[in-house]
Amino acid sequence: MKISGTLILALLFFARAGAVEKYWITFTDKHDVSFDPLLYFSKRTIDQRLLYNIPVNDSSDYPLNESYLSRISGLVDSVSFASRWLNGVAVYTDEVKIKTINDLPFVKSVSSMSNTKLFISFSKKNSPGYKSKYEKELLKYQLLRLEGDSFIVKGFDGTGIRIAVFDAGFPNVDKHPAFETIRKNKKIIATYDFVKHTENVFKFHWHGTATLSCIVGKTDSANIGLATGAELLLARTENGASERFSEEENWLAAAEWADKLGANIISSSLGYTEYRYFNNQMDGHTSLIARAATVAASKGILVVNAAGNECNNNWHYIVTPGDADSVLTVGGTDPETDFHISFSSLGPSSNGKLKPNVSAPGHVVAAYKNKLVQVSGTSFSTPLIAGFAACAWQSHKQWTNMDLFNAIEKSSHLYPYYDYAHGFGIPQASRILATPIETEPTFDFVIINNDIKVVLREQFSYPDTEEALGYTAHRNFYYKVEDKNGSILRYSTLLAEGKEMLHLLEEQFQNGDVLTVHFEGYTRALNFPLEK
Amino acid sequence: MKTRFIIIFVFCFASVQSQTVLLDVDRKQEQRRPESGPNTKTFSHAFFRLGAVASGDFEGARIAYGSSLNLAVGARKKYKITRAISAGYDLEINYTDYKLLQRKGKILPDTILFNKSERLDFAGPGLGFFTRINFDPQRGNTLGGYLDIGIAGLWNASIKRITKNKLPDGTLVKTVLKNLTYVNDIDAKLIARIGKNHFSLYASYRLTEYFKPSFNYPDLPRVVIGIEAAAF
Repeated sequence: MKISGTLILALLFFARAGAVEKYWITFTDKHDVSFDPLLYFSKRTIDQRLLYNIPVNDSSDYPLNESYLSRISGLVDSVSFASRWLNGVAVYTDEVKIKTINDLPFVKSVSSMSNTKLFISFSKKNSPGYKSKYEKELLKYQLLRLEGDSFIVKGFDGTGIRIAVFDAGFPNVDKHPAFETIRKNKKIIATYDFVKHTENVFKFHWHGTATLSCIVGKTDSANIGLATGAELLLARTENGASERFSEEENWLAAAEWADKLGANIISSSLGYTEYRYFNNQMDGHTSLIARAATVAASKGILVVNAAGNECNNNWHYIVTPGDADSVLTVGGTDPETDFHISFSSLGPSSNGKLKPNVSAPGHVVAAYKNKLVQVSGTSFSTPLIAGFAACAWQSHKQWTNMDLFNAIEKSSHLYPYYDYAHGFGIPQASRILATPIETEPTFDFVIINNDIKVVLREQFSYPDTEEALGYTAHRNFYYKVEDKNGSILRYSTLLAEGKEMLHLLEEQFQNGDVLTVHFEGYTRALNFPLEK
Repeated sequence: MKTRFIIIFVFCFASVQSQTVLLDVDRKQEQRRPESGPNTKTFSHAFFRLGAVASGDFEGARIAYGSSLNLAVGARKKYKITRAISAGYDLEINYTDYKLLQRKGKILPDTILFNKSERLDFAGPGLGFFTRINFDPQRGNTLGGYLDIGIAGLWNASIKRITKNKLPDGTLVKTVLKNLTYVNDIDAKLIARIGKNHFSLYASYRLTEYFKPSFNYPDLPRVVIGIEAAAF
């Protein structure tokens, strides 16, 4: 029997050696390729590239070298996708052939693209529908918390901005009352199912319907998202069943498609974790999807992606492509407490970049089937910010995508304070539309010898009740300690219940450390060693 | 590794008064590169198995399928050799019972027919070694899909014959016989598992005879199939 076991093992090895798998092949160059941007891009894309000074004749947009492609096609079982941006192809072939391909002079690198897992983690709360009082309040809150009414009053609804939404399907978007305005105004410019290679995306997983509603949805009484006037490109990139790495490949294909059609913003409530990657690979350079998102940003597109719902899981940190430096990564806040919602993935990226960049409510009301329901997840924080970004961009058309990225960060309620749970906090429309008024100091550092106290000013301390305080704002007190390299060593959020919030000792800090405190819109830092 | 996400009263640094801490992350305690995990150099986890006796029985020792079960609980340690190949060992406590059908012609271990039930129970510790082939060498820090082939040895420290008989007056008589002289207490088996992440399908084939040759008993079925859940 031992011989039989060894035989089985050997057979399995041989079977594996001959198995067809998926590989990504990157070419060395695009020599001898001709490209006419006027033929390839939509007029809108060319206009935008000219407006934002982005090259229209860039080699990353050139097609792949035909002779390389045909040589590869002749060697492999099939070619799944060819990417202009990454100058590579996804192919199905076996291990023996891939070794031959790797030796070809025009092949720069080869990597396996086997199994991985999608992330569209969220939960749906069964409830009587949005007609309940709480849900009506929640629906109002999700936009009010972004000061969305400031955009609405000024007439900014994302008109003229084209948003590409990548998700797992958009069932009922062609029927649901929340999208009636979109349908009536013919705002859905193009659709494509990158999984099935058809144009019909109005089926499959409802996650896309819910996320889309958080950008453009509308009810009789309130908006669900802010960008009700935006144009839409809907792409199904998620399969949800088998052959999962293709979802990253689909994302890349959809991004190239969206760029060709003149997308300004990509809203992507998707991400990938341990099924393909290790946590220390969340550096914005490793995953295919992070590289794709980075190229998309270089083409002038604002890429908005979810931070992930991994905080309470082993993964714990942000998911890719939210790890890419130029992706606006969105964390979630709890509407009940106004700080980090328990599941929202923490930053930074594994190479220490600030992530998430901003936050938005992570428990919202969204469209589902023929009704509205409560849903939770950074999947829904993300489209709220995508809608916000569309309105912000409409209000400042001269901004490039990275100007907009920076402006959204600066508009956030904690700015200039940030930490790895909230980023800069929740963007505020009023700060996009006007320069924010400097907030009066809400606390003081009281330093006696080596004792450091953070004491709230009289009018901001000891609220016996919210009525006594006069407003219902959440009294969250934030502080962090950074080292001399700007890396946060520790960050905390406290409930401001008394006058003296912190009592620290100077010897707890190293030279070069910085203690930064934020309370009620006011931020102040203390550098160590203290000046005597 | 976990964020200390707490809503309790604690002292912050040297704070003189208690504060309600909503969120507190001390990054000095964070360990970004996993020191352990399903796809690191070594990985240990507990497992639980529920199986059923599956292969054909023999004349004289017919069994009741479905109620002849195999249970095991144990710990596994896996060593990553390459991205596609691992090896490891299991320590387990194994329990298998064979429910003997009370039919005419039964000779194991005698011809007595009991009107309630009769079963042979084997229980004891085991040690197994396996080689694992992963189907997805490019996976992240996850077990992924795999096939295990291995061999295990069991010492049946407890072997019992348990009979239940209902007397005419309704009294249930349960008899437990231990130290059965006709049974070998050491077993060896081939094992195979095909699984993905936390769950696998399990099959084992017993290589050794349960009964000593001098007693000339028909053997009990050698194949067990079941499901295994990995706890981590």
